[in-house]
Amino acid sequence: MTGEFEIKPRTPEELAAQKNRNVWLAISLLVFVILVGVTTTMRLQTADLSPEGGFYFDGSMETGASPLSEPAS
Amino acid sequence: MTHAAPHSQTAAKARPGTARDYIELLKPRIMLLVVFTALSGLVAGSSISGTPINPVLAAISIFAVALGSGAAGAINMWYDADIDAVMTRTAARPVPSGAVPKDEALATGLIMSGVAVLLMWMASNFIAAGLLAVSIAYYGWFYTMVLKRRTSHNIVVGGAAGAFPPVIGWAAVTGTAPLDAWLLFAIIFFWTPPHFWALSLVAHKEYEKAGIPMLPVTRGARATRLQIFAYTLLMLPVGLAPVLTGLGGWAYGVSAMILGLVFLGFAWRVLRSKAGEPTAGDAERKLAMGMFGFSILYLFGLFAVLLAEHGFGLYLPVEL
Repeated sequence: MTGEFEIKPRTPEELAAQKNRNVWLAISLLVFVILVGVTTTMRLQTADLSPEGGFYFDGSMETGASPLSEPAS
Repeated sequence: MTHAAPHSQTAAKARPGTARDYIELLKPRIMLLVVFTALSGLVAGSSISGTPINPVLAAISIFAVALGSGAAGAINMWYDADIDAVMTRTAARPVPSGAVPKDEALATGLIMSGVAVLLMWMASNFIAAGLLAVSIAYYGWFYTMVLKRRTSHNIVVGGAAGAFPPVIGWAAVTGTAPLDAWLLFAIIFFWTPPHFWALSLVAHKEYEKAGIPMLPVTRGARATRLQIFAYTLLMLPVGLAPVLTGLGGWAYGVSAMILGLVFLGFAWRVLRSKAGEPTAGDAERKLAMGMFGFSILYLFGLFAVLLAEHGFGLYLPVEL
């Protein structure tokens, strides 16, 4: 493996700018995770999770005909 | 007319980009207007339909609209980097100045588009998310890549991109987009041409230099001033239309009439002036910029009154 990639030395100004970007990127990711978490929680609080609810998984794996569940003739 | 070479490398010396450059990439001033009109649409939709607002989900929906606006702005800056570098007004933007690499601008726009639509869908509904996706594509692709460099009607057709936010806000809370929501769309749609053309009367040399077929460049200043007046004349009744449907009350009606007449007064003075002509002086330039500035006040004013009427109980219906 030869050194194909040469790392260009960065100036202190470039390093400071990179750190600044990284901090804001981390904050953005954290905010995104929090927003998804809050939205999901609020949606679940008002969701109809009963078996008759329709959209959500009702906890049963046995609904609908499956070839594997057909009795042997 | 010659276009600037597409996506040519800019001559500007690259400087290290900071978070501030990435915020500039999202066109925060446009985002402010987008967020405000979306909020007005959301509050008016809730009030008219009687649908209660969940404040947290509503805030996330508005945040998603802001993200979508920023995403479209980043895509626009990525594609227009070559012409932005040519114009003095835009040469210091993050991409042409070298602060943000072009690929990163595109990646920021695309990732934020996905995040914005996903968040909107989670926090509200499919219709609002779909409208948000359409509006991002409309500005980022249809206006920026198809219309802007091809036709002098770019602003007229492309104006629809900025008109979506109140409809998105309305749909976010009600799950529908009825006539009232589209009236708010129409107000921004008819407002956009006089708003931008007032600026282009001043900046037409810049647009010409960059090869953008803005109306003053292709048809001349006189035709532009006439079109500004015609669209402002159309905008006046459109601005008053919410009173007829019951969306706007007394305060809205009076504000729309006063603001609309002042706007029309500006358009009339611009029509009779030499704004945009080679012989135009400082007074004409100030007049055109005054109209541009007032147009922003007009839109903020209308939507602020709508917000006050439906959000703060100031709605007094107009009996017709």
